[in-house]
This record gives sequence, structure tokens and C-alpha cells, in this order.
Amino acid sequence: MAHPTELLTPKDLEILEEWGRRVRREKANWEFINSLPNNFRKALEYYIETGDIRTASVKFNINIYLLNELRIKAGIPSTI
Amino acid sequence: MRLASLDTCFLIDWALYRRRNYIIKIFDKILISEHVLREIYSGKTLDFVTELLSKGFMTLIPLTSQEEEIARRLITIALSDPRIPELHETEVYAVAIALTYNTIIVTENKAVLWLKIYYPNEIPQPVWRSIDVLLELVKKSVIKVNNIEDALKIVEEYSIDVKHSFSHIDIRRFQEEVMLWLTQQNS
Repeated sequence: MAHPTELLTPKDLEILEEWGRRVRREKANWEFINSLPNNFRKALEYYIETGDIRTASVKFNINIYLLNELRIKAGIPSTI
Repeated sequence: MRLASLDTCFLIDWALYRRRNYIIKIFDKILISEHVLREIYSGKTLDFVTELLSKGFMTLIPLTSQEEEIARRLITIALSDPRIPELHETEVYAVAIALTYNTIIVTENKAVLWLKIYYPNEIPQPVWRSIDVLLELVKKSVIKVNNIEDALKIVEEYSIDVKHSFSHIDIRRFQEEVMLWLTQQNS
């Protein structure tokens, strides 16, 4: 028996990237996101496009815990 | 002894899950670096980490030159391969701790996952995400399931609590593993 992560292949990663971006874009509350101050809005937009919350927090200098709280408020699912 | 090295990317989500404490039923000890602790200064994640540390289920691991060397090597690989997302301190040290202490790596970080898949020899330790932890809770009967619907409810609970979406690829594999396990239990 194997765990789902053990079974992932590079091809799966490509599929997950496309799927994740689509889901994050579709579920995001854009009205809320667009109402945020510039830095927070850009961080969430970056996260929506990449699915990489760590890099979003570093790039926009926002604590990762706080950014995750904001992600949830903005209705953006984590997907990986 | 089954050990796990956790990073912030996993903890900030897992701490929101209604059954978060069940994780101590599948690991003998959870290891974190001070980098993880530094980032978590409020809310449910802090409560969760504080509780695990005070009860001895979680241990803070000091970093030595050994972990620094591992971190340097992995970051060099990530920098030289455009397929690998940016690899940052907290996550790379979680991996380094796992390599030093022979633990499972539990993460929701893209860079670690991509590194594992493209460079499995560099990270021989298993890498688990939340879907794997949930599967283990089923297989170890920490959460009792009688059928596949029960198991999928667990995934749904997690998705709701954490605002996480699992891919069809992961759900399918989770289902297959649970079916296999159920078959073995019933034979």
C-alpha cells in the first residue's frame, strides 16, 4: 500500500498546477481581494497564480500565518 | 519509533482541523525547528503547538552544521533547476531535520514536494501531505471507518475546516488505498 504523495509523478504535478490555479481563481472572493491594501492584494493574487503561500509571504513580507488567515477570509482554497 | 518533521506550511492548516490532536496517535514524536516556532505567534496554530510542546509530543530541534550543510545542498539544487519552486528556510530546515533524524517529512510546501519528486535520491525520507496523514489516521483506526463513504467524510471535514481543496488525483488514490485497506480488514 502506498500513500497518495508517494504515487505522484512529474506529469501529475503539471496537472495539479493547472487544476490548482483554476480552482483558486474560481473560488476566490475577488470583491474582497480587490478591497484590500495593495500589498495584501498582490500577495493573494500571487498565491492564486502559483499556489505557493511560502513564497507569497516572503515576496510581500507578510507573516505566513497571517497570510493564511487572509487566504481563508478571501475564500481561496489551499491546494497541493 | 515513528518520527515526523513538520513545517509551518502544514501546521498552519492542520491546526484548524477539528481532529488535529489525532496526529499524536500516528507519530511517537513531532520535531520542529525554531524557525517554525518564530513564525507562529498567535491563534489556533500557536495554541496547538504550545499544547504539543508542553505535553512532550513535540520537540524543538536545534540546528547544527549538519542541517546547515543539507540545507545549502538542497537550496543549491532548487536554485539550479527552474522546475523547482523557491525553497525557503523554514521548509528546507524541516527537510534537513528529517534527513538527520530519519523522520517522515510532513509538509504542504510546493518546493519540498517538487524536490522530492524530481530528486528522490536527495530526499529519501517519505514526504507526506495532509491527505497522507488523513489516510494514516484511517489505516491505524484512529478514526473508525466502515466504508469508503465514512473515509471520504473525513476528507470533507478537513476540506471544510481548513478551506482546502483536494485534487481528483489525490481523492482517487486515497479511495483506492482505503478500499484496499477495508478489503484486508474484512478478509
